[in-house]
Amino acid sequence: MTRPSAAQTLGPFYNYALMGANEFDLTRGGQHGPAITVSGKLYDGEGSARRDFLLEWWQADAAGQYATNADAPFRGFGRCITKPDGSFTFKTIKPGAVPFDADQGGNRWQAPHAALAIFGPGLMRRIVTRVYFSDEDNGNCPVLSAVPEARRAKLIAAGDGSGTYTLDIRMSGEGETPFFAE
Amino acid sequence: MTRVYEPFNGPTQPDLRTKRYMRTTVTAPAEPLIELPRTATEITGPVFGTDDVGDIGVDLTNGNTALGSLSIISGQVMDEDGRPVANALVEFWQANASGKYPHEIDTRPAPDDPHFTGAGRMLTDAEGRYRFTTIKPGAYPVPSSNNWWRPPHIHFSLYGDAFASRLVTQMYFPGDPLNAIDGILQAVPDAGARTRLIARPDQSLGIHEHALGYRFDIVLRGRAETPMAG
Repeated sequence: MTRPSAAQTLGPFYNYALMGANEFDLTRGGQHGPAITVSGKLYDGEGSARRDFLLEWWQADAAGQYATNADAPFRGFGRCITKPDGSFTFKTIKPGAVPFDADQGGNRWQAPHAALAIFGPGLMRRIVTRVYFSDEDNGNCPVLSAVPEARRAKLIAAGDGSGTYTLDIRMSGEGETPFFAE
Repeated sequence: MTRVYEPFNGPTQPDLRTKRYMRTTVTAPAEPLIELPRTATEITGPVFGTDDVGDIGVDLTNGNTALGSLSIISGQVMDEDGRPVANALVEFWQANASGKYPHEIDTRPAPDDPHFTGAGRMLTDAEGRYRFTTIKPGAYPVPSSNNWWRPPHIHFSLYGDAFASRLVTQMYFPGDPLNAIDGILQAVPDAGARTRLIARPDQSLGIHEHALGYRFDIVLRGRAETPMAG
């Protein structure tokens, strides 16, 4: 058995190279659920908004199913590079709840969420977090429950009732976003 | 295939904080990372098709007109058991022979090369193999550093078959004296893991009297589930 190749930083000079790096619209293949947007800004540990960080978004469809082929009506994947003011936006649909332990005979569910990976200059390897939604029942999600209670709100995008959600990412320090070990 | 994903930390991966790359101190999380059970979200991942690859292609030299040492880069993408990862999305980008990127924020006064495209992309074949034609990139200085120059390197982005196995890395060239003093390569604690980021010259990949060949194999996270005893 060979351990995985070492990760290295994405660096700052990639935006012309990555497929769809400026296409944050996950609904471009068709509308398969109510449209939502999730927007925010990314800040570093000194409180500075940071440009040129790559965000990768992975979510289930409205029924809680992950796409398994390139022809799926909803692909579930998007990329976005933070703008000079640190801002990002994903246009997508609300994911459904996803099974947690069905493969082990359980019947627990994860609240609707997206996985979010962050890459960028000054990050030696990616860091991963999740985005939940304020208008969902998040109380019983086994993954969210593993996050210290005082920090959970940092993973929950705030909705305005019309499909527009906001969530800032703080990579370090005061109000730090919870990140997950891989 | 169902794969299992063991913890990604350890000496074969770079620390999120490294003293030699100063900006890491403001981007690395200060709080401990939270243990996350592997769920459907992590063991699935985006699947890409040929339509996604587009026409960016695998010749970065615009028909061998770019300046620099013409090179074929090829290798195999495998999981931790050595099984090929087919249909993986491989994206690659690099500086030109003068060490300059075709990117708006690379404003260093070094020559542009209008014949060098700087990036390519492909899906691995059934044996997990990829191959592209490029030139050897130049070294370049890191801004606001004490004259730290990055060794020649090619950036790689890989998506295998799971969100959990996603990898962004860099390939280095054998024998370059800058490799031993590079703050990014040397941020990987394990010497063997650093060596695996350095390509090997491979004459069988080159083209006679035309192009050098380099082999660069990549291992993505994940191995087969251990079969139950009995």
